Parts: sequence; structure tokens; C-alpha cells
Amino acid sequence: MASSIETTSTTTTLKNNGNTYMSVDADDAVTFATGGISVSSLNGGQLAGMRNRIINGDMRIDQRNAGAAVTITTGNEYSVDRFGGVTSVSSKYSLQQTTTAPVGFVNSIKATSLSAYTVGTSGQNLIRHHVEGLNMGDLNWGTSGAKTVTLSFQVRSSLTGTFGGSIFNYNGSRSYPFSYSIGSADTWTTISLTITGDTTGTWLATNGVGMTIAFTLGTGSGLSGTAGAWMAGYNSSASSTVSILGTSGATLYITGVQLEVGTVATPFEHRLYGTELALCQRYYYKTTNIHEGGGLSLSEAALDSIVGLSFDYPSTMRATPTLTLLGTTSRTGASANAERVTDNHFVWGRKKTGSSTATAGAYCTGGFTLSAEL
Amino acid sequence: MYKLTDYDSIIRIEDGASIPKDKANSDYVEYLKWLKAGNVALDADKPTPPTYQELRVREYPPVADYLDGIAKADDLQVQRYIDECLAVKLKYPKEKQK
Repeated sequence: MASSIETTSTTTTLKNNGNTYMSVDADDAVTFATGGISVSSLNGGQLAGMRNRIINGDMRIDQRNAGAAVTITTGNEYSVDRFGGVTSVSSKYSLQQTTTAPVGFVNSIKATSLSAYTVGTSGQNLIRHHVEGLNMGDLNWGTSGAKTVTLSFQVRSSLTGTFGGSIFNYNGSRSYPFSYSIGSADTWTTISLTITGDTTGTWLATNGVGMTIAFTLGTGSGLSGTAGAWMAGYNSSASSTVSILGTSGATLYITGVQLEVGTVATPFEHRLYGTELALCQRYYYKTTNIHEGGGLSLSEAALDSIVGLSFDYPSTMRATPTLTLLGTTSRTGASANAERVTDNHFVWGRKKTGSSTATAGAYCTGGFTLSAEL
Repeated sequence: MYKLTDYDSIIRIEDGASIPKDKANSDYVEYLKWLKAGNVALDADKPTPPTYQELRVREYPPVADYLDGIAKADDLQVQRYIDECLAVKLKYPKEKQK
């Protein structure tokens, strides 16, 4: 008996030899009677987990500030992990992790304008996220095989209109300005943008900056370009977009940022907290606990043993990190200050110079930070 | 502002951060830009010189030689230990009070 398709007012049923094997109901939900689905890809991308190339896209992790607001002064400040501020003028906005979030999320990042400021022609003020090259090399950008990606996020603002942002490469020689619309103030809006992969330019596949995704809070016309097209040179926003900084107290909230291969914005990929934290700790680690250590320092021809505060990182870091000790610090004993910092371990203390041995110790009362941000 | 060290890091004075000489580290890249702009880092702290006590301890003969001389009632061995100690003291005299 041949296959058949039977349709009612509510259901479409596919049958084979009289047996139903698939049905589609009035809500377009598909049900398979038996067996499973065999496909090589979903939406042109991978099948399941780790679709999202954005780390901390739901803004849950805030190691640095624990929810406190950060005024962006130099443009090197971070708010939630992996999301920082860029500015060409000091103290015009703040960034903060908040619990204002759409259904299905707990947190968002909030930008607040601290004054009514008119951004200059070459000015820019951004929320920035770097994607490491090692996490996007498979996109083959910069070649004829460049893959299409979809950027999706949820956004709300006290203002309405056309807002802007951009995707650009490590040295700003290639950029893709984009725009999106917010029609209702203080209302969460889901944005989805499909972006054809860039077939030219240089896109790093190393531990350097692969791509940067920026959401503008106010960018001058000199750094703005036509939305929806790749172009040579650096543009951090689409042209003629809303400037949050133009209105004192104006806000922009963003969460659920997802970048995935293909043309479809799939539901946000919620990863386990521990997984997300470990991903963040490749770039930044913070502890506020007391740390101490000590022992016998041995001086040998091959290697002087450094004795003191010693720590193995929970994640191998992207590069050798910057170490900043917090609180009261001390190191004493042996004969000289010394430290050794690698991408997975550090020791900070004292060492013995010359022959023989000596005891030494070190501590810090406020913990420490390790930064290997892009 | 930055300060050099005797080990493989640079200190950022504003927050005491220890920056490794790794060109993949963004703080080190910032430091290199700062140098390129014509700035100069402060010299490393000079290591504290060893005290006369530390210098003497390194060269005193083993105290076991003295005890061995006592145990054997060997006055020559005891005197040799004392002489060697006095020679070290002479070599590294007490520091004058500042």
C-alpha cells in the first residue's frame, strides 16, 4: 500500500502502508509516531548545544562588579563579564548588570545616559563584546566559503526609533553596520539579524580578536555607515540612529545575545551556570578570599624556586593574564621579590638568590584578579 | 605610569597590576603603546642588599666542627673554629648605626 497524506480541519497526517508516521496539528507542531529524525544539520548550523558564539549573552556573570554600576571613563571598563564599554569621552554613561529582564531571562545589561550629551562627528560610545578568533575560525570569514550567521538579542529602551550597532574585525578594516527598531518605549523587543559572511578582509582565527559586536549608545556620523552591508574601514554604527547619550537618564537594556551559524535565530541557548562561568574565566577570574603560602626556597642553577602565594586557575586563560592582588599584600623571607605567571598558574612571593636555601612566605587579604581579556 | 621589575613583569602603578610581557595580553599592548608615545617606565626597585648577619651566616664554618672539637677535647679544632668565625666577622663588620 502506498504512502498517503490525509488532511482534516485541524491535522495533516502522513501515512505509510496504513500506519501514521507523522502528523502536523493546528499549532504546526510536528509529531513522529515512531523512530527519530536523521539530519545532517539544523538551520545550516550544528545540531545542538554550544551554538551560541557569545559568552555570557544572558548577562548572568558579573565577576568584577557583582551588579554595581560602572561609569565608563577610559573605555577599558567592563560591566558584566565579556561585555564592556567603549567611549571617546569620559563619564557620559554607565553600564550595570540588572535583574530587569524579559520572560525567560534573569539579567540584562543596562546602559544609562548620565547627561544630555551631543556626540561629536568622530565620537563613539558602545557596549562591546569581543569574540575570540579561536571561537569563530570555522565561519571562514575572509574567504569565499564565509558562512552566514544570525545575530539575535532582546532589547528595550526608554527611547524609541532606529538604533544601531556594528560587527567589525580585529583592526577595524572591515565592518558591517546594522540597525534595529524599537517601536515601544520600555518594552522588550526581540531582534534578529541575518548577516552574510564577509568574503574579504582578514579575520583572525587565533586567540586574538576574531570579531567585535558593538551596540551603539551614540556614534558620530564619521564612524557610521550604511546598514546591512559589509564595507572597508571602521564603522561602529549604522547612520542616523538613536543616541542614548542625547537624553539624560535614557536607558538601553540588552540580553539574550546570540550569534549562531545559519539564517535562523533559534531560541537562546541557556547554558548551565558552571559552564558559562568557566567560559568567562578564560578571560577574567576574580576571588576575594584570603590567599597565602610559604615554604622553603631552593636556589639552583636551573631554576630558583619561588615561594609564596601559589594558585592554579580553574580555566586555562586565553593568554598570560595580568595579575592584580587585592587588599593588604606582603611577601617576606629569602632574598628577592619574584613571581611567575603563566596561562594556567601563578606564584607570587620571594626567592633565594645565590646558593643554599631560605624560607619565605606571602599573602594577600583581598584576593586577586587575573585578566586576559581581548 | 608603569614601573619595571627584576622579574618578567611590569607594574602598572595606578592599581599595582603585574603585567606579563605577552603580546597577547591587552594590558601589555597598552603598555607598548604608552612607550611608543614617548613615555618612560620607572626603574625597578633596587634589591635590598644582604645584611652583615646574612653575609656572615653564609660563610661561618659548620657548628658541628666546634661541637666535635668539644666532644674530642681537641683544643686545636675548637680554636680553629673560633679563628674561622673571627675571620668572617672581620670580613663582614657590623654596620654603623645610621
